[in-house]
Amino acid sequence: MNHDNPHIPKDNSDQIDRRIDLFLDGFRSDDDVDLERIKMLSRSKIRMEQVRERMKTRRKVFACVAAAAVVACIIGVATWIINPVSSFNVSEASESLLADAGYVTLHVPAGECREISLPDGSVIIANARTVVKYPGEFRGSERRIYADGEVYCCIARDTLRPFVVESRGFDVKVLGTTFNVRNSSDSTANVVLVEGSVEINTDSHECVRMSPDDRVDLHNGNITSMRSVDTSLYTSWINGMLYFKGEPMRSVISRINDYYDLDITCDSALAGVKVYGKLNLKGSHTEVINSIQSIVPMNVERRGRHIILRPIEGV
Amino acid sequence: MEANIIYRITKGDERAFDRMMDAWSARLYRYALNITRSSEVAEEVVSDVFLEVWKSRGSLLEIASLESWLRTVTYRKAVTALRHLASRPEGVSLDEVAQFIMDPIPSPDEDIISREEGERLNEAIRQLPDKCRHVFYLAKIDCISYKEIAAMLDITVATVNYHVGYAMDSLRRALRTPS
Repeated sequence: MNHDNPHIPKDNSDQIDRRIDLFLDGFRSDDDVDLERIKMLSRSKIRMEQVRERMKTRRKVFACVAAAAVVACIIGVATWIINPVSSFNVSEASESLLADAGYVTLHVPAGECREISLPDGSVIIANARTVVKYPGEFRGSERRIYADGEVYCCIARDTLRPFVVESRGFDVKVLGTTFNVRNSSDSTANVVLVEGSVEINTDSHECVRMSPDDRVDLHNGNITSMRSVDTSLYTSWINGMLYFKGEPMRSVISRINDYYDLDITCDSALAGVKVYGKLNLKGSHTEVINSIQSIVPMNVERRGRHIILRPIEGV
Repeated sequence: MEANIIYRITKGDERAFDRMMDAWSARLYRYALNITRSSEVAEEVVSDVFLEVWKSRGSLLEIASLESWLRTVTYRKAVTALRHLASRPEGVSLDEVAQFIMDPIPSPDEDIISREEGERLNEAIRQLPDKCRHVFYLAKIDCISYKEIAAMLDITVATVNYHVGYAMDSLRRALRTPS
């Protein structure tokens, strides 16, 4: 059709165009756009990409984990025909049931980290001395893994199959997000949410929904507190570093004990001393203790894996 | 967008990237929504676009027009998402993939455009051929230059001009004559 339509008189065409323009303004409204949600989604995808990029540079670890995953896949396929499983509790399942479901158990050695690439594209980084049980293939309506220790999770979004991290006394349920779960040897635990949204369900039927930057503390599977934190302090370990911004010496020691499987104790005069700075975990525990010594002057008494820290006399 | 922001993104500055997302999320979302007609899919598409921007951040300065590039990537990803949905039994049919639908919007002000006139205009937009509606959207809603639209859709400026003229005539006619 010709747009110089002779049936349209020229006289009030300016006015008509103005009204059309006002009408089209309605299409330009931003009211219905959930900007934060889009940004949150984008950031979580980028975070996942960054983890993948990092994995390429640590090919050795990755290759080793990938080999384990392949073995798990083969077992999984072979047994699935005989014994199709639906979702179950990984923490409660027996070893043989887990093996039937294609789960493998990873024990991370002291002083090291492991990266696990899950079949759904999620990436789990497990800290030293952490136990992770994960399948070679996710089946059923949920994606379930078990973690005891400390894990940093970058979960691939899948609204149809929620991701559940089971831990000691509580579960963390996710749709697609990045967070850090840590159980300490003294039966306290904490979950720190970097991005997205997660729900914590405890065995004592407490339930809490977290927002980004929230930290939830638990003791024996009961929620004890929830507050807002600087998440970088909790996730720096994935890059082999620990950052401290005024943490008391006793928390710093607890982290190093968990990481290197040591038994460091400190004099009560040192326990409350605030520590600022960063520690490189890539070296041996001796190097780490030397660095702490350079931040906080103290005497170090070594008896094998038992180490005692004491204040310097007269200081 | 400031060249400085782009430069900072190429250096991996996440705060600059955040500002870029602030500047572009709404526009790209609306564009994707008009193709996919699902807010959830549109959000996925836009976040995938931003991921692609991040992945190719090293060569962002070599892109002549960031706007056309972003729109092209959005369009491509939105159509791919629709195709993906169409391959599921409950999804849309492939015939719908190439369509560009504009959701009817209530008239902004009853004094200027009555409800009935708004409906006539929406109907006129709905009746436009798909390609024409797409070009019209880019030119009139998103106010992109004819030259950029031509480059983006791989058509001539004269064709863009023709589509916009045709669409505007249809709207003028709808406003003038009660059907």
